[in-house]
Amino acid sequence: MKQFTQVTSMAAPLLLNNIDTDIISPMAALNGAKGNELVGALDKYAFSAIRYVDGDAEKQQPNPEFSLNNPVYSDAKILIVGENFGCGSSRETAPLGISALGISCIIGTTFGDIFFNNCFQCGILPIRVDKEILASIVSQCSEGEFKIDLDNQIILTPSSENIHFETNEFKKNCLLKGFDDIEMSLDRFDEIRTFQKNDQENRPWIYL
Amino acid sequence: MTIAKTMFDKVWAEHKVAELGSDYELVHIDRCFIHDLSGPISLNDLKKRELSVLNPSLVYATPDHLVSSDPGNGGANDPMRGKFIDILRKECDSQNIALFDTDNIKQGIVHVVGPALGLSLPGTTIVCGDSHTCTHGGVGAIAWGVGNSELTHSLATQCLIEKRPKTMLLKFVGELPEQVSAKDLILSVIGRFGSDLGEGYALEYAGSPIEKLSIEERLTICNLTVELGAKIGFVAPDEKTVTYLHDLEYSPKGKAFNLAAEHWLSLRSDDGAQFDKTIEINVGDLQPQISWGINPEHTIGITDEIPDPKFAPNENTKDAWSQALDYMGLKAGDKIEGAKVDQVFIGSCANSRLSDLQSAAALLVGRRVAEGVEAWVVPGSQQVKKIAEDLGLDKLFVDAGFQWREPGCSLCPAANGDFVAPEKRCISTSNRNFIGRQGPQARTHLASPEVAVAAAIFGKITDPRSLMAK
Repeated sequence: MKQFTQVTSMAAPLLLNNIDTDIISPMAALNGAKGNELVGALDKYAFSAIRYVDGDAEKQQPNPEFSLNNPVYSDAKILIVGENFGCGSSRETAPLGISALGISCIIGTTFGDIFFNNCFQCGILPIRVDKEILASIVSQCSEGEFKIDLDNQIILTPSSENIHFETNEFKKNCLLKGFDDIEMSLDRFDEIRTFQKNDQENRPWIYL
Repeated sequence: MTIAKTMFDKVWAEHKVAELGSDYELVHIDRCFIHDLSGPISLNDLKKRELSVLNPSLVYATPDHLVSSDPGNGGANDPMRGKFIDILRKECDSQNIALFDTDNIKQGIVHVVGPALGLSLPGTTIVCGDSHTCTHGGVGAIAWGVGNSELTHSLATQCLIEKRPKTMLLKFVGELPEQVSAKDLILSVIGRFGSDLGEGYALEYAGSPIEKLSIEERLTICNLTVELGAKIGFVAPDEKTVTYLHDLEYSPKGKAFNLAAEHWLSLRSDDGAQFDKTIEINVGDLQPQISWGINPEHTIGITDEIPDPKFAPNENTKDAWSQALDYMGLKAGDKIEGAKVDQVFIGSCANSRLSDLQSAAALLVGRRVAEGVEAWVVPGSQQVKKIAEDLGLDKLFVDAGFQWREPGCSLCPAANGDFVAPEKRCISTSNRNFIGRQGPQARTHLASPEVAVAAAIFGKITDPRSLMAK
C-alpha cells in the first residue's frame, strides 16, 4: 500500500455537511470502465453533482462554487470537509476517486465509519478535529499552504500555528510504513487456522 | 460474580483471533456475501494477488445490483453491466463459491436472501461489499459493509483487521401506533437524531416496541442503521428469531439446531450491562414519516410542514436545507402532503420482503394507480416473487396499474440502468435520498410501503392512514 508520511499543500474547503459517497463517486463512474478494467475514470466522475454545472460529467462545465475548480486550490492535496463526510455507500471508489484528484489527507469533524476505514486502505489520511479547530483551519485556507506531519501528529497552518491531532497508533503505523492489511493477516495464517479449529467445536453450525 | 456484558461484547470476544494493539483486533468473519457490483472487483483483485478464497463454503454470491428488473429479462440491460455478472460467474466457478444465479430461486438482493435462507444467523459476523449489510442484524447477526480492499481481505483470510466500536443502546418505549410501520419508526429516529448519531458505535435496538416487531420488520429497522452513521446495528435474538430460523435451508437441523438456539439466546445483553451510550426513545405518538430533502435525516411526519432554512439551528444546516429545497423543488413552510408524484418504487433491501408487499397490496384492494404515475414493485428475491405470485399479489398489483418486475436492487442504487428522470419526484421505499442517487437530478422521498402506495393512488404525497380501516 501507498505510504503516507507528510504532505504540504493548499487545503481546499468543501464544507457542505453530509457529502455522501454517491456524490463523491456516482454510479455513472461505472460507465467509465473500459476493457477488462471494472473501475475507470474515477477522476472524471468524482464529485460530479457538485463539481460540474447540472452535475453533468460529460459536458464538464466547472461549477465555480466547488473549491477544487478555483485555481487557488486546484493543486490541493488536502481537503477540509463538513460534518459526516463520506456517509452512505461502502464503495471504495469514493476514497479512490478523491485520491485520483491528488488528495491524500482529509480533515473534518465527523466521517462515515466505512468511508473513514476505506481511506486507510487507499493510503489517505483522514483526520478528525474539533469544530473550533476546524473553524480555525477553514479561516486560514486561502492564506497559504498547510503541512501535515503524521509521524508527529501535527498540522502546521499558514500562520505557523501547530495543531496536534489524534490518530490511532495502529493505523498510523500502517500508513507510515505502507503496510497492507491483507499481508498482515496472511502472516497470521496459523493463528487463523487454530482459531477455526477451536471454533468448530464451540460453534459447529457456522462451518457449512 | 461475572461481569454483565452486552451482546456486542460477547460476540466480538467470540470472534477475536488476535490482539493487534490500539483497540485493533484480527476478527473472524463467519460469512462473506458477494454481489455483482463489488464482488467482481474483489475476485479480480484476488486473482491479481495470486490468492484464493480460504473457506469457499462460508462465501455466498448472488447478482442483485446490476440485473435488469425488466419483466422476463433475467440478465443485464447492457454489455458493460453484463461484464460484471459474467466475471462474477466465472470467478465464483473457479473459486468454488456457491452462486445463486438469475435462474435460481435463491437469487435476489443479498440482504433479503441471506436471512431468508438461514445463512445469516444470530451472533455470526458477516461482511459484504455493501453498506446495507447491517440489515442482517435483524436476525441478531453482527454484520457490516466493507470496501473492496476489505472484501478481498475477508475472502483470502476469513478475517478482518477491525477496531472495536463503542456500544450504543437505542431503547424504545411506548406503544407503536397500529397504522405506523417499522420503516416510519427508523426514519423518525434518523430525522430526530441525525445521520451521524451512530458514528463509531455498534447499535443495539431494544425495548418492547422492537420485541413486538416481526423478523422482517426488524430487518427493515437494521437496514437503515448505516443511515444513522453506524455500520453495525442489531436486534438481539429471541424466541421469535429462533422460530424464524427453524427449518430454513442453511440453518442447522435437529439437535444441532437446539444447541445453536441455546447459544444464540445466551448472547443477549445481560441485565445491567454497560453501554457506552444509551438513548431512550418513545414511539407512542409516531405518525407515518417521509423524507423531504437530500439526506435521510431530512425526514418529517407526513402531516408536517417542510422545514424553513430561516429556522435552521446553525449556518451549515441552513445551507444544507436551502440546497435540499432547491434540489427537491419544494417550498419551505408548505405541507409535504399534496406534493405531486411522478413515480413510485416499492422495493430495495429496506422494504421488498413478502410482508412489505402484503402491506402495500392490502391498501391497493379496490383502488388504482393515479393517471400519470409510473408505479413499480420490485420483489426482493425470486423466492419472495414466487410466494407473492402464489398468493395472487402480482395480479392485484398489475390490475391496479403497477408494474411487477424482476428481483434485484433496481431503482434504489440505480446501478442496473433503471433510473428516475431528471426533476421527477419518486416516492421510494428504499433507504437513500442522496443527490443523483436514483438518477441525475432525480427527486427521492423515502417512505414506507404504505406511504408509497397512497402516493401511487392519489398521484400526490398522501397520509396512508386515510386508506386504512379504523
